[in-house]
Amino acid sequence: MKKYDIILLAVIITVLLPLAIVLLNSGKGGKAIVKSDGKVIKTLSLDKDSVYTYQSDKGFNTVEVKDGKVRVLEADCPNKDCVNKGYINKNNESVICLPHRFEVIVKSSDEDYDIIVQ
Amino acid sequence: MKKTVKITFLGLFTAVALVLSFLETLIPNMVPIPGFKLGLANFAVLLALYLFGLKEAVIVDLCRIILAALLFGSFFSFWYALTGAAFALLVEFIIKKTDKFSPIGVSVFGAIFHNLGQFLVAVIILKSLGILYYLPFTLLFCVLSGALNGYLVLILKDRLKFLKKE
Repeated sequence: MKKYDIILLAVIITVLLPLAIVLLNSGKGGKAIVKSDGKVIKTLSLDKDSVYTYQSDKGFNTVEVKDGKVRVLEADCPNKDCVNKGYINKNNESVICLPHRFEVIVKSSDEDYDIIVQ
Repeated sequence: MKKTVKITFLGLFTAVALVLSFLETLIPNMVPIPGFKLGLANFAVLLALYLFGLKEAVIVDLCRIILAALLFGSFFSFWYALTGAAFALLVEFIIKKTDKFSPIGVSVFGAIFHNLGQFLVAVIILKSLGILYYLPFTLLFCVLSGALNGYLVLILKDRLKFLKKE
């Protein structure tokens, strides 16, 4: 182990560890934003249980909101990483499905970058 | 060194890397990045880089990725693995050249760039930065496993010195 190794490891840990702790403690989100190919296609409130299926030319993903959490319930992608990820509910957490270019991100309800009419 | 000895050892390294790649698929995925791994197989590649050179490391890495994709991967996992591995090996080669770091530092650099490469692919495909939320976590994990890999190489490269001299 050389001097530079220790400097490298020390710098990485001092930068990343506090950042990870802050992110872990970010509060619960209030809505799930469904995106396909980078565009917002649907916003689901986490307060209300619901099921939403998005079909694109690449395939489908079914999103389920239950008890304030959201997950990808079903999909026809090859690896099923999105389904295996399970429920998420923290602010800024996300589930992605790369083969379908599909993404679900949890945000807090007051974060309005698009206006939802309920 | 006899060519057969070298071929034998490169085959052994590839086999070890392949087994470790397989073991990793049994660990549940903690982050939603397809193809995100701790990168345990990388030590065999790094060892080939230290004992033989860049060409041999590329051979071991390519064989591992192609075989892993055929045996237990998919078309997608192949491309993510390839992008990440190309980033990692290039950076490891450059950092090793500077001679400022031991294998531990070299391996940590490789792990970081492997990670960044995969996030880059995900961000480009999704056209969304949301996934970057997970970057600090995956970086912490891969720095730990990178340091472990580097430590293994540090020990093994001296034990296997005879391969260099022959």
